Amino acid sequence: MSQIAAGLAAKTIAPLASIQMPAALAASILQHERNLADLATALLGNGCDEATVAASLATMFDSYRKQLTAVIVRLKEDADALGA
Amino acid sequence: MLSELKLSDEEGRLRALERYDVLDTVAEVPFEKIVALVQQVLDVPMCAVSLIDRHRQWFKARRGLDVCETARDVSFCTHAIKTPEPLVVRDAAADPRFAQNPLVVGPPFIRAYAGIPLRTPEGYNIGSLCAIDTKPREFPEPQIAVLASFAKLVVDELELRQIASSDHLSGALSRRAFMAQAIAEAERARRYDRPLSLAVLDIDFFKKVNDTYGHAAGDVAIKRIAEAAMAAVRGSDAVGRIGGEEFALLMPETTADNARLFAERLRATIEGLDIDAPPKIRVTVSIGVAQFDGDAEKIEATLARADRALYAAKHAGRNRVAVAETEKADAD
Repeated sequence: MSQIAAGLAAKTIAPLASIQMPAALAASILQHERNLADLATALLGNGCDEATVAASLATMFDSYRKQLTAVIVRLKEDADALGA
Repeated sequence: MLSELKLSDEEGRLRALERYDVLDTVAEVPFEKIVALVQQVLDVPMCAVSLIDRHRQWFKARRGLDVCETARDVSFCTHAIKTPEPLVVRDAAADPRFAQNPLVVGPPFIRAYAGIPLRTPEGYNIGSLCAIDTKPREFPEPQIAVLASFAKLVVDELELRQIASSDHLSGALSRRAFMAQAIAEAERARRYDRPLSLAVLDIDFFKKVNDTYGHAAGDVAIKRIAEAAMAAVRGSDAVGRIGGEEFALLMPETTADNARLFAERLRATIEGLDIDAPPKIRVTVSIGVAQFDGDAEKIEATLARADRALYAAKHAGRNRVAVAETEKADAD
């Protein structure tokens, strides 16, 4: 994986850095960052320019983040229901 | 870390697919975006997230394809999930496996195909992300790499939904996910007139565990008991954490008698567990069992009967299994 790809992936998911994440989701987010970096590497290898790659990663991450938010809310509701 | 690839365990593969609870669900933006980007980057007229069910392939997302599912025996993706490698067909009309395939000689007139298996963390190929063309073509290695990367993102999205169904402490299903599965199984049991049983399990004297050893020890006990239950059940069963120290077990194709036998074995297993809290502690559980009465009740009522049987087990001295009366007997 190139430094450019890793950098693009890290920059894409940077908005999550300030959010307190349930442990159950931390591994998923790490995995997602790795997979975004793989995608960046593959797109660069396929001849896409950096701006196109960044846009593709942003598109992918945007929908992941929305789903992530829904999951966090749901986990909190479930924890509250258990009285945890 | 990915587990070893399991290509020959078809029943396990189908259960893995079922756990995602994604078949026949509505279109969702993340998957739509993935197929749109694949279509654009690989410049193909058709692209799909195909999930391989027992007798069909069903498309979670699709571009350029008019149907939402096809028979499994004509699907290219069925071939793709049988291999750890991408399946690339440069000219289907010249490939003896596909030359007479109805999807090649008729609509949508597939000529070239590239499919990447959607591999779960447990090692099951549940479907594929595929790119399809109507004319013969190559799929160079950089394009396959792009497709493979998008396939990983498909699995990321499925896994994220799965996390929402799990109780983060025990790894069992959340109450909400357990009840959704119980309602679906009850409908199946009613439709095919098959037995279905539920058990409710509660840790005896759990407050004392917390008070004596601390809440961290209580959490360890919850985790170990959930692990024991999940290791004991069959693949078609489900375990959910439905209360602080209370679990429920869903057992399709199981009568109350067999559920009682299973519950008794699980009770004995848990009684023998050395739980490293620390210190090493032992706990017992009480279990209530009830068989779903498809004609007379909703599954929530079965759960309530199992819960009443649980409290009968508690009342009788704990560390035991009790079986619920039927609703009719309850009324009598």
